[in-house]
Amino acid sequence: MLESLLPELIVAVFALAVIFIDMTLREDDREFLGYLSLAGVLLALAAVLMQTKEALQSPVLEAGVFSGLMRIDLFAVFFKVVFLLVALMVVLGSIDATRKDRYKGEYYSLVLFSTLGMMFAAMAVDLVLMFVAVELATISTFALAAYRKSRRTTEAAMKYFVVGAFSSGLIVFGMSLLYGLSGSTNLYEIAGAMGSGDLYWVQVLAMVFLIAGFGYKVAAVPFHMWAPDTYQGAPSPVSAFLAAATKKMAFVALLRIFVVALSAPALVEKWALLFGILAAVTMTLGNVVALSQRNIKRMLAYSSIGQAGYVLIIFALLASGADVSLSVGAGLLHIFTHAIMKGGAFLVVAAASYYMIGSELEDFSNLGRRLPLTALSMTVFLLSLAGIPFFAGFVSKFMILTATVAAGGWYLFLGILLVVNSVVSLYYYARVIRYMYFAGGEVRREPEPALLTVALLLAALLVVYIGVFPDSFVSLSIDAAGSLFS
Amino acid sequence: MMLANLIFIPLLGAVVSYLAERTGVVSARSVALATTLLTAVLSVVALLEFLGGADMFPEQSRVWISDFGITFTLGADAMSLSLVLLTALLYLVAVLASWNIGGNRGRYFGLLLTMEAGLMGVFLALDLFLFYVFWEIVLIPAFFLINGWGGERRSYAAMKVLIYTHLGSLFMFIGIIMMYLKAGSFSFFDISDALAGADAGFKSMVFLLLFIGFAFKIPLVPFHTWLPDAYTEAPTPVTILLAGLLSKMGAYGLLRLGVSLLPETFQNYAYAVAVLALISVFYAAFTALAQRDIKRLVAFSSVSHMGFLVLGIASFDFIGISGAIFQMVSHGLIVALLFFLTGMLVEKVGSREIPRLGGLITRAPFLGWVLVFASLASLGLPGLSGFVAELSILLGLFSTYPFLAYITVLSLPLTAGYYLWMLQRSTFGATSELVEGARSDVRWFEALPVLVLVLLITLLGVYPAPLMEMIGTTSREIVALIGGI
Repeated sequence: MLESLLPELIVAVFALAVIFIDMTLREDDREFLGYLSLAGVLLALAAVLMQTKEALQSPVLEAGVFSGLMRIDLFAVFFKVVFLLVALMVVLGSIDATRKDRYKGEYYSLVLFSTLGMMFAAMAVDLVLMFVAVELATISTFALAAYRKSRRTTEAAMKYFVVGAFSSGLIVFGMSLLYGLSGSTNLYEIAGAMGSGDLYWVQVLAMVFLIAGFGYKVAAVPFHMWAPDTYQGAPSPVSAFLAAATKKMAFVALLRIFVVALSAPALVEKWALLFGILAAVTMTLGNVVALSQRNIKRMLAYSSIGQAGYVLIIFALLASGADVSLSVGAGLLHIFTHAIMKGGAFLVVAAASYYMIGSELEDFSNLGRRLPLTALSMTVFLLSLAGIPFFAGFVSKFMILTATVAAGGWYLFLGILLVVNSVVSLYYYARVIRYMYFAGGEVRREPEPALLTVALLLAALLVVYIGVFPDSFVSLSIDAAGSLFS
Repeated sequence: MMLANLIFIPLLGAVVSYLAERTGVVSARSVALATTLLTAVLSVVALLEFLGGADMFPEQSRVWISDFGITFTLGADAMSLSLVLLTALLYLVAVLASWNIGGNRGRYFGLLLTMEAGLMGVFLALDLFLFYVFWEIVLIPAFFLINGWGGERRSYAAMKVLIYTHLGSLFMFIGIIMMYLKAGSFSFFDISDALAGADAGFKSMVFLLLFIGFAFKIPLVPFHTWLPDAYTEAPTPVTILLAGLLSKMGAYGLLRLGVSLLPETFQNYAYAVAVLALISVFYAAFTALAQRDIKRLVAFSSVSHMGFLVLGIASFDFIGISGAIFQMVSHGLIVALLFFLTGMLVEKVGSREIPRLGGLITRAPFLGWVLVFASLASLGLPGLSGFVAELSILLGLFSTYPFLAYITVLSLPLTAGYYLWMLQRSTFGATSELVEGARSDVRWFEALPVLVLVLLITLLGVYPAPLMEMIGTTSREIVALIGGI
């Protein structure tokens, strides 16, 4: 049984190793910790990819690890790949981005512990374990957000902490109601016990608490106010981690709880409507507010909110009777592609700040000539975020749109809203490109930070690869969605 | 021959020309010229194979995204081939027109050739997902080209064309997805079969969604507002491509998707479409009358002529549709020549303002005479290609909607009016101060494209039969769909 937890063991061991080795190192040598974490992430990624290979043969590798606390299925493995890829990008980028910072040991171990929490959250099918895993991941990021000391960072971290703690409270409350209603903490047992229609208002209350609690974590409107401040104030690699990984973890939990545990048709009808409203409001507000942002990190934060709205659409579709694997698969692929492109975009800001380039739109003027490779990857990420063909984001957005159109009827309205939002978003993404390449004026090319650039180029390459050869990624995400139920 | 070469060779050329300029081995422009020449040769080879009776509809098919039945399917019939040849030719013109372009040439020609790959893809794709993907990707190089090499208000113009046509395209995409969900595949043929039995309400909805996309691209009034800015601000070679080819994407889509896939539905809306097109014809002609900038005048004239083209499509008559396809080629050639000349005007005289160009013909006779020729071609002088196209369109329209046809005829003097008035003020008349200092030299890369275009416009005008006959195969199939001859 332990061997099926090999990836998690690797991450845990390396996280602890970072802490202990940190104590033995002189300050100048601590860059080594970055490489150590990198090795850990790479090893864990290799182990997870082996699991993926197995899971492609039989979608459910182990149904009940530790007497039913966890379930290692393709769904879990899929998300573990996402989290580890993001961790890889962030660690690789951080070696350059945190070169001048002092507390490297703490930094890398927190990143690893947070990743560990996410990996457990991906596998958890028990409310208690899920909560603990989510908390492990989030509490680590509280500290990460406050990693650099400045007024803005402290404010960002404080806001993030207060909202995070509050939303965890909401989640626990929702979970305890679920337990009270069903007498079990196992998601699959809850699924069997719910849906009788008894205690109607308690059921609704549980759903509302869970949606609100996780709504804060995915920064859905109206629970989003913390996200722009936090993403803007936190160090850029941490913002990348928050937007690309932590947020995705909340989606894992949402999917497991709602799609599995609350799958009784009478319940789906209720929460799907709530999600539909949430999706419509979230994508529209996120994109429209992003239009007026002059700060790139803030703009990316609002775009993140908008993109979360796209994923929320698929929850709404589940009441329509449309193909569940297609709908959920569309959401999964978008979570994947968004993690890579948004993580990449924040890392670009990190690369820019390496040369003391700020994150205002004007600061990015002529980035195309100053840091050509960085600007090139940013262009790839932005076009992908906008959903331009031959980039990853187009494929996943196409899947969401298709799922929406397939649901038909009133859901088409969500599809049209998605399309209009997509056009709005193209404007503010293209504006950054315009600044990077067509601002005019003279600049000098600077040597780009090697590892950070490697991280960016790898991410950009993956985005293009998925865009040009999407076949296996599309079927992977559809199969992963299917493994939730099989 | 593999039609895929027509897409991949420009793409390869794009990469090579970018790298060539960076490494300094060869100049980007010679790589670009070689690439476009090769593409043109291959297009001619494809044409010869087609005329030799090869079945290229579809030619090849490969699975791309299996879960959605998406394939990489290419194919060509007479209509696609006419546009492929037009693309190949106008790209030669555009490359020569960019011979001395400023800025980073590696990037410029890389973007230009990437766009060619996209355009070829649009005209060859027989999988609607593939069609959409190429359709969208054309916009991105255009955005960069306008932004990087355009006129004063370039960033505004580039953003406008990007956002407007993207909006239209996405509505079209919803329509395509709806057809896919009906057919279970994106293949043109599967969808064609599946739609035959679909209910009318569904088809109307799909048609309207598709039409929005085409109307933005063609463009028809009131979806045209992006056009004057984009055409005027783009650098000359890009304007040639925008007006000559990108607008044809919309018309091609209307024929390939609107007419071929949804014939009865389109026929139900044909009158409305024709009225919209007629409004475009007149609105754009009147607006052209008021322009001081010759490039803007040609831009509006282009909208007017594209309206003419749509009238031909909406006539649903054999001659009318043949005329419309003929007009695609003819308008492509004429508008390319006109925009090429506006580029030369800036180069030689230093202005595009009509009142400041008086007496051009005395100082720069080559430029002046070709401008006269191009204007006459555009206004539909008999003996030139525009006349053949517009006459066929009118004949088709007379047999279907005589009332609309009578009104359309009224636009002809209007068109003649704004062109002749422009000529009178610019080319003839008293020599202006600016023209006094005009350069009259003509270099090879200026003369060659002009001569080729002039020759082709005349040839198609005097002897249109071969092209008409070839087009006839496509339009006959289209008319057969609705139970015509």
